[in-house]
Amino acid sequence: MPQELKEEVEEAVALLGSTFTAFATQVLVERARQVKHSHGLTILGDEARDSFVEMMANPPDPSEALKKTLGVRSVVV
Amino acid sequence: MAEVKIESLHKHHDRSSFDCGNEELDRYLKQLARQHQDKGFAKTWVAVLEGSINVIGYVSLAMGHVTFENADPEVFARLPRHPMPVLHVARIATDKSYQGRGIASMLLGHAVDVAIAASESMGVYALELVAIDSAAYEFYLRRGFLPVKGDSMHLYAPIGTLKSARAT
Repeated sequence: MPQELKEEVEEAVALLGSTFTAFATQVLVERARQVKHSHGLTILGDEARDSFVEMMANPPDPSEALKKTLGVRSVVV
Repeated sequence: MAEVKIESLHKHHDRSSFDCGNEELDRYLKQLARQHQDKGFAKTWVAVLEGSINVIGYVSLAMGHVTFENADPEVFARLPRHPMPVLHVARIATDKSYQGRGIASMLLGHAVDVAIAASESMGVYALELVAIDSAAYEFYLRRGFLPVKGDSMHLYAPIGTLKSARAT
């Protein structure tokens, strides 16, 4: 870890009255829980949400590109 | 010349020499795909040449959910409050020796068929693709999957759109 980042973490550790190892362990566990909780879950921001809602409420006709992709039924190499 | 077949990943499939150019995607196929399949985390379909057991492409599928950072009653008037189920294309890759021949399109088509079939039995709003980088994002865009504003990672195709595409 670069010294600058280490010092920043050590300041936070001092504020909590914790130790570097205890703090690192706690952060790792919290992040692991977050990853497990959010796995398979997509959280869209406001702009993306509006696009998504519109798309799901009014599914557009398939584009030529999509039709072409789905037209690939067999490949010979 | 041999025809490409899509099969459910099985222990007899040889994945040892698979090289798509992305180590993480190679490692997933070689080390985790079967384990995830056995545990029910994701189902992997592989592309092989007819009569061969060598994997030349794969797609892994799992159920996913979409929710929003923020939503108001206007949003919930159009969609349910609970996270919306989607069929999530977790990973897709083609071996470098076979890229550019349409194998990824064939695998995506298979994912679409799985999504449509699943939607006959359970709630599935859309197929969801998550691009691992900008090249993957462009790849999905060129294949007709739909972007959402302000997000350069997720693309979708509503089930209704996919059914229409399959009907034509």
